[in-house]
Amino acid sequence: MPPRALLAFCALPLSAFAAPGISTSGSLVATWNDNLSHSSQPVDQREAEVFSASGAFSQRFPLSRDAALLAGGTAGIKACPRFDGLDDATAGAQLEVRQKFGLGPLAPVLSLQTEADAVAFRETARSGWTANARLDLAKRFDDAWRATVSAEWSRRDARAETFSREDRGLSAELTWDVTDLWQLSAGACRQWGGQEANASWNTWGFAVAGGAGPALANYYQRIPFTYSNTFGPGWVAYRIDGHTDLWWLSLAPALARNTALPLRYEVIRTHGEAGTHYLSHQVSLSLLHRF
Amino acid sequence: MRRFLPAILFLFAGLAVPALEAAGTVQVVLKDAKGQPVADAVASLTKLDPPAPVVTPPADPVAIVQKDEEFHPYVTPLVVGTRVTFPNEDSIQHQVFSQSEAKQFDIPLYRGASKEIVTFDRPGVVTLGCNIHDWMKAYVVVLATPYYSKAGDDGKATLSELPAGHYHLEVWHPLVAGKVERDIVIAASDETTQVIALTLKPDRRIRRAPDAGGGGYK
Repeated sequence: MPPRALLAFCALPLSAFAAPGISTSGSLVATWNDNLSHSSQPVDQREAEVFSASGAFSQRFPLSRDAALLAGGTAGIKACPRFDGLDDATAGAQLEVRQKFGLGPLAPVLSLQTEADAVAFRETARSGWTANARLDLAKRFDDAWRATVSAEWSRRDARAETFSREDRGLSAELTWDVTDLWQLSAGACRQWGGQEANASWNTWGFAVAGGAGPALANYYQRIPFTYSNTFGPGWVAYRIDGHTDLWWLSLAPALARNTALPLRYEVIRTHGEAGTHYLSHQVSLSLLHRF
Repeated sequence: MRRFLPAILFLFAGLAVPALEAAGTVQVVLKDAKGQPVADAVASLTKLDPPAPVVTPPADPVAIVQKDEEFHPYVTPLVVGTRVTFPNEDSIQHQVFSQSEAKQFDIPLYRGASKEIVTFDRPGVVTLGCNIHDWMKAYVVVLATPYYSKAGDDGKATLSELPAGHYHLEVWHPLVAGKVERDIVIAASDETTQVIALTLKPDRRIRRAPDAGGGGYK
């Protein structure tokens, strides 16, 4: 992506400050993942830090007393210093329909969020478009406890078929505002669909040659793969089908009325169709601010 | 002018004498269990002796402003019949509602000047909210007596110009469960201080800081 276009993407949410009635927010996130390469073999697993910055804006259009349409946009950049092929810039549009069932904070809220983004990676084969739709049902039980259940669909169309995928997911999250300052939340998610995985040439060649059994060799010969130098010379990126389970725990102190600093721990386990497993752990620290 | 001076002085003296006779003052000092001052408590006095005082709402509406996604002030005491406007000084829209028994209303989303003026016509405590921003909360304490005062940051509420007589003192605060009340006697030109210790519940409000919320494998 040309630098000027990248700057224009990132300036998109900032331009919203000038317009009245528009809500804006921003985030800075530092993430560490012990298996960013999504590799099944321990010898291939690559840990790395990822840093990202993003901004969003939205305008609310009331549809009725309890329903609203929210339209907005997002833009962000991500940097992975160790594997810079994963650096990306994203810009997109969001549309959400939100329905609250009654008055007050205890009334349940149903929302349908849709988002379409253009994503430009430094490793251009990954670049393309993403589309996402998410249905959330949130219910607050009192001043401290809140639960959200969600169903999600997402699709990525990348230049290389390997990096294109489609998946669906179900998730639930329970949030406890322990005090005005501290918030604890825990959640779980299961996603079905395609996932990217990476292997060094040695591992890939061994599996394709039947070293891990004929079933796996046949499977690897059927799925999309591409040579990718992101995690090292001669590495192969490939797409597997299966499901991914996530569990997360987040501790989020409020730094100010509109600012929070969530520390989140996630366990991510992917079960591939051919019986392969990919496990990773992720820790992230975010600075969230609503302007 | 000199011709009228005695008449003017007589007139002023005639107005001043009844007021001086009536002027009792009560200062209510509100503290929590640790002895710290409690702000935003409303102290009110109900006269037990006849004649009952006349309760006259102000001619102009009282304003409760929405600014920085909060209501200001947090607690508003007023007399029955008072009209209230809710100007929105934020750049985003707000909605104002109450489901309280003393007054129920629902002002649809708006920005700028309040489209509706709400008359608080029954005594009681009215909880205000915004259906968009769940953390926004405020209270209107509607009183059937003209004798009331809200404690400032120093925890002091001063009620003045009180006719001599027997009164029922009530204190209300959003963090106090139940009523805090006592009967007191006020003599003409009396200046008394009532020190009241309040047992406060934890100040739990809905958190407004953002959260990341959910998440899948991106």
